[in-house]
Amino acid sequence: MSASADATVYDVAVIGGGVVGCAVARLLSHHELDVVVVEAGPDVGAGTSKANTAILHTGFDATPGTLEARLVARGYALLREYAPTVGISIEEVGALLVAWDDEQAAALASLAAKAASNGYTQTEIVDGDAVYDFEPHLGEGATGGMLVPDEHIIDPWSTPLAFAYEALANDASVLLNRRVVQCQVGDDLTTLITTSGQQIRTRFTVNAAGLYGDELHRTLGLDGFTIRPRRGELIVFDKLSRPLLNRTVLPVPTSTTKGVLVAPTVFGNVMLGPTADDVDDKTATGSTRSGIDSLLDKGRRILPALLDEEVTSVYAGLRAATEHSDYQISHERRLRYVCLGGIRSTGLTSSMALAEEALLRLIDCGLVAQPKDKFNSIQMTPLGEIDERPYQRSGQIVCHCERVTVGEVAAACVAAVPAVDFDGLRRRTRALAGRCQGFYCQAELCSLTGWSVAL
Amino acid sequence: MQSDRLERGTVTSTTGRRVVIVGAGPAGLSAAIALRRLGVQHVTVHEREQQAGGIPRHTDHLGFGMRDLHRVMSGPRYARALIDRATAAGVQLRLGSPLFSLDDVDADAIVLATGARERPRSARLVPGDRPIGILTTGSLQQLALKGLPVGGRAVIVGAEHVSFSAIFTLAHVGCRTLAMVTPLPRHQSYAVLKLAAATVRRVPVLTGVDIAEITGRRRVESVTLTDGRRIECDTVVFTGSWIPDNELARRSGLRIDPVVNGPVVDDSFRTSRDNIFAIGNLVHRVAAADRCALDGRAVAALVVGHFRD
Repeated sequence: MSASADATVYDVAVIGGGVVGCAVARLLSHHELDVVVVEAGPDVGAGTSKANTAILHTGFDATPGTLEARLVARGYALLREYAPTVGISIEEVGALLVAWDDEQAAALASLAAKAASNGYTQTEIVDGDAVYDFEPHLGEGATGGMLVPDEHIIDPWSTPLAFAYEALANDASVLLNRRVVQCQVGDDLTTLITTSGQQIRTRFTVNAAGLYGDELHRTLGLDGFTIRPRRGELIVFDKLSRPLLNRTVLPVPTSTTKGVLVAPTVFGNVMLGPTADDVDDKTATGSTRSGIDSLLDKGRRILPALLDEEVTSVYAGLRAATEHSDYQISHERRLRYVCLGGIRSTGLTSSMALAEEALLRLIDCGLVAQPKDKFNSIQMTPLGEIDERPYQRSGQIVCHCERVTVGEVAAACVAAVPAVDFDGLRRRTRALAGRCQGFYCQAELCSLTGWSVAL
Repeated sequence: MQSDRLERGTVTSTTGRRVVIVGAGPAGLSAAIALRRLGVQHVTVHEREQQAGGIPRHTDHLGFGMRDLHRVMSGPRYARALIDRATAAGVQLRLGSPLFSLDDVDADAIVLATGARERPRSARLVPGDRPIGILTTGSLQQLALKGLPVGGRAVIVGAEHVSFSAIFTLAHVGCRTLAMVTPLPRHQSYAVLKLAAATVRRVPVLTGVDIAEITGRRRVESVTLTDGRRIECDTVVFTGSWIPDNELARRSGLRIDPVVNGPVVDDSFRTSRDNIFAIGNLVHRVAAADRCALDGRAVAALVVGHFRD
């Protein structure tokens, strides 16, 4: 990471180091451009990107004709191809959308038709008996279902990290702990001003500021969308529950939400969620009693045996929802500015397509993007349960629940964007993400990292 | 392979017998020592941590060893005593040696002694933020043992025996305990510890109330109780609520007791699979260390008797 020398003039500044911003920076870094990611927090992928249902969406249920439908479908193809090449775990589990009454069963045909109009034709409608053949542990009352065989699961934390690492490997910069509060657009240069008064000069600007995208948009004198965070709470169950489920079990979506799903994770857990509550506070990432209880209620009906298992973690994320039902993507030539706003939970899947979209719009704003003759690739340590993990070869395990080695912890602390706290370590290695939540290894991890639980 | 040896079952002496024990806490070490003393030739203890001794290793106060060693010792000294005895008895201690499966274990008998852990905050479904400063007694004790700071003002959740242990540890590292909170109508520990908590440490024990929410951006700022009270603190210690570390038992297909969550055992510590035994807090959850050690001694005689059958 280069220091933020005031003299530096970047070609493109990407504001926001979430999965979208990092994907944009990665693609731009494949071109002869000086690229910088300006992130408000101490780490990349640590805002709204970190609390995600971790589904690699086919986009089968998107609203046909929307930007989201197109970019999710395109992003799916790109990410599915990219992930295995860099070590981002994908598990090809597929999904089963389950109807729990006759009305929902009747809606399956129209969902299949909707999928087809989104270009996804692999769905298959099955009867209630077949549902139990596929998922024998489901609760009573399923009347039918629809298989979505390509709706897979992915490691949501390694994805933005891989993008960032690759961008850095190709000479992009990442500036952390810099919240942009003002953008002064001049004739050729835009000056970004951070909360601490620091100035970052750039020719072009991409807004990938997630939950704060609307505020950034307004600092440029633009309008058009307001982000009202939609909180999603999730419960992750012990890995011993994984045999209860073969694939992701989806509900029939309503007009307002995709509903509560039960999904395996690539790490070998089972996840239940999310809730969907509109909140006003963009930092309200706490879980709630009512949220947890409502998830348990739903989980008990969908997969009763799941409730007998221990809970490994509970967390909540905020989706960057707006008053609109589609992504809010726009660009302003006079401001040399591209806005990737209102990217909701599908942003993980669509991130690489959003990067393509951003590049096209930057070019339309006048950016000259000359592809590099060659660029560097990177390699992550895959964290999936079905991947080979370092402990299987050698190394002393420090986190026994997730089988994380001392070497992996050390590597995370000196990564291209290093882990700077236990949350960052958890996302990079899985350490502390397991069933004991640090009962056994918290103290040892403090010793290894030099970090404190007392701040 | 395991199955060959396990199913043979015809040799009558302890000579040449091989017993593998999983877990080097009081139960596993005591079983190993007793097996060696009964003449079992090969006794190997696999311990996933780099140090043997189990939980007493980091429980730095008196109260250990009464029922098995007939002395009162601190946890670390007790752990040391068991390790020394195991070494002297010719037990092979394999440290940093986790077992992920029993399939490839070459043994005439296997004794599971993987112990128990405290349920962390998440498993108790306590809502709120996820700041740092949320501990269990286990993590607290290990931090204290390393001389690492934990915070200055703590709320302890739970009022079991181990919860009072947490008060001592917090005092030792200079962290004030503001309150103990338990939804139970009265706390569950020994009278002497109650006295210690109430008088020596002056810790209010709030009964009939639970923790409703944790608040804090980066680190813990406060907890809210179910009666609406709010306590400003920077540390929350979740104590007790023990759950057996049953992963190996479950993945090995042992029948599991739905209440305890450990393997079902008969009065000879035999699990539902031939020649696999389970002892200590894997089956009891919350027994004292010396009781687990007595399990170890008892199972040794039963394993050897089983060889003679």
